[in-house]
Amino acid sequence: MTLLIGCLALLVISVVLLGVFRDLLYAAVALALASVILSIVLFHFGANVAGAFELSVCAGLITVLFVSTVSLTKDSDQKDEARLPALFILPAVALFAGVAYFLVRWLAPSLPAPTAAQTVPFREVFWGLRMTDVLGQISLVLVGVFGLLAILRARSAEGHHD
Amino acid sequence: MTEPVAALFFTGLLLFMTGVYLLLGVRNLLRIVLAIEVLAKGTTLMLLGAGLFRGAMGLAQSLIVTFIVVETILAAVMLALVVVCQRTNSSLDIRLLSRLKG
Amino acid sequence: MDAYVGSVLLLPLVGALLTPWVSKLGRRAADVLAGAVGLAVLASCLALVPAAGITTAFRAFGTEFAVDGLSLLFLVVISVIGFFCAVYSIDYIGHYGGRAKFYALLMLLIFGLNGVVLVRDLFSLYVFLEVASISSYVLVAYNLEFDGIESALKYLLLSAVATGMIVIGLSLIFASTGTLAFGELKAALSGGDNPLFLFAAALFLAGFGLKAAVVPFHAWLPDAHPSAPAPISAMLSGVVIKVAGVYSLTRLFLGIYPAPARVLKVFLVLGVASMAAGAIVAYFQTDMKRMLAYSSISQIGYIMIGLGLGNWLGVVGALFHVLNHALFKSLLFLNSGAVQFRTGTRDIREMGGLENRMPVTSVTSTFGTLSIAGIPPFNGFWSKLFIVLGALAAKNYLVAVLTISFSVFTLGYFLLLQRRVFFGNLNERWRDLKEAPAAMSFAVICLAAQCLLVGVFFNQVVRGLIEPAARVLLGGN
Repeated sequence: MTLLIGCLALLVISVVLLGVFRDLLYAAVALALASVILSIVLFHFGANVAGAFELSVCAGLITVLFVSTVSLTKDSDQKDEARLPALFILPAVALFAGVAYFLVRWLAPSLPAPTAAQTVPFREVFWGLRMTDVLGQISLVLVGVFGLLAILRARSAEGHHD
Repeated sequence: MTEPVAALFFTGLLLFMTGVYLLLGVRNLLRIVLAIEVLAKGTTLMLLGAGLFRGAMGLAQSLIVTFIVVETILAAVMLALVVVCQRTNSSLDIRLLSRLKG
Repeated sequence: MDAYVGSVLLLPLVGALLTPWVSKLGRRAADVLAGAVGLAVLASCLALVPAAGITTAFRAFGTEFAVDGLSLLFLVVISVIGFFCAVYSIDYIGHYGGRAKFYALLMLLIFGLNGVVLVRDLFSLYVFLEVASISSYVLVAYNLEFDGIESALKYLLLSAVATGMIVIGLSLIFASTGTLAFGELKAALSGGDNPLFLFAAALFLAGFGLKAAVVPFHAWLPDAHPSAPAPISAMLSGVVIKVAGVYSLTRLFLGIYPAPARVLKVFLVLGVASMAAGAIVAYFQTDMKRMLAYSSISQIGYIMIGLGLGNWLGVVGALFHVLNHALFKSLLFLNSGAVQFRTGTRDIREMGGLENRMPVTSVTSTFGTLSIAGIPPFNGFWSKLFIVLGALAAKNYLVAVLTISFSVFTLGYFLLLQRRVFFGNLNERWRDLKEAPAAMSFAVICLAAQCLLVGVFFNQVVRGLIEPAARVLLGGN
């Protein structure tokens, strides 16, 4: 339990850092750190597949994509001046913590008594019960592929624009 | 509610709200992606908490994995849009967005 | 039967997959593919209509999809508008480039939307909702110009918050009930009105409400619609906000939650707010598509009012309006696209007298205007009438009066639009204007004809399609 609290605290801290860092690359590192901590939490509860996914995809792939985008957009005239979030992020987080605490307190009694664990292994659930989602994910990959190709397509002759 | 679940729900809601807060205050389009990732982390924690409470870790993992896939595709599309936006406008200032009134 | 469901579901996906190869066969090959897929899906949908009251399931490789009366209504909306938008695109998207990718994304959008109405599980609904949403973000940005990209990003970021709320609500519901399947949820939620269910309900309302562009969650719509290519605006206004938003809200709050009175009240209030705000702001617009976008917000308000009334007439009216609005709004958007295609502008102050040069566009727009204003015998009249009658039946005279008043107001600003764009003296600039190309004209003529036919044969449409849907929600007469 203390390990969990520690991890969750670190998670919140890295998110705060993400909001505070002016440099986008440092912010990206903070995000990657948050992802790593989240995957540790997932592993802690035995969610190994989800943890591995979170690690490789979020901490890995998304960070890579993000950093590539930062370098691709390097010459924007972006002045990252002091933004409101950075100044007020600590009081904001404190406020949200209060709200979250009251929400959990308010909603907790509505939950029934914890049931006995019905551990159906991941593989069975994913490829069995949730096959519909798998079909959805396949189509999502297609959306991603066509979407990226469409967005990044070379503009040829100029037609008349809307 | 068991304590780990409470902690997970608490942190999940906290991160989600923080993500929305970050989203509202960004100046640079790339920070939108970061903010959305933060709120996605919060949501993942909620899914984990729910699965833990029910003792259905297999199902929770399925949902989390699917959710991560969705968020990744979304992030990729977002980043591509940001790249093209930079190409056409030479700027990633979000105040461009407020040119379009809601 | 389930072969039809299977084809409705899988044909768009297969079509999208095949697009890259098919487009290599020839410049127009992708158009033919999209048109063929659209037609096949439409035909399969219509084949399902005679058996509207029965629930048909489709199971393959462990997936589970089912069609009931409610799903079927939305399925018909998706396939009709989808087909005509695909046909319209044949002539319209030429100058955007990336023709094959456009069709692939359009088919994936249709696939996602079909998936939303065919699943029987809350999380799967979310997954297919995202398939449709992400396709639509790219399609909104399709012109890759400033306005397209910015609108797409704004739409995207608001949507991301919305879907986040939906998944959080979903987690809470799952923690509480242990299930995400519609049937089991219905049983589990009938138990009580506890804080957790209400909080989750609030999250769902906000999340799906944004997808439906209900006030106050509408902010993304007025920018997304004008910037998107016309067929996509038509899909967004006519289909996406209905399926992603209205269907989900209906399925959830009238089909699964035991229609708690508090929620219905919220529907009513938000509905009136949308109807009023949308109409009033629409009046002041000079950009044709922006006016249509605000008008959509207003019309969604009518639908929410009908649902919020909760009685048979109100719900039937609302569901009928889903179909009617899809027909006349997409017609109007496609026509605005035709005007923009030929004139290069969306500003109504620069137009005038276009009926002399674009008779087809003008006449079909008139059909659309009369439908949206609720003039008999067009379709809009009947659905609005049902909603008003529903209000009267619920003794809610204020809502009835407001609905009628805003209908008159809608007639007002749409007639104004018609007059400034089409009637009057021909602006000298447009002396050499041509009518819209064949495919575009074909699509709008068909839609206009449907507005009239659905209005004339409203009885059959309501009995055959709308009432089975309402029965799913309200359980019999």
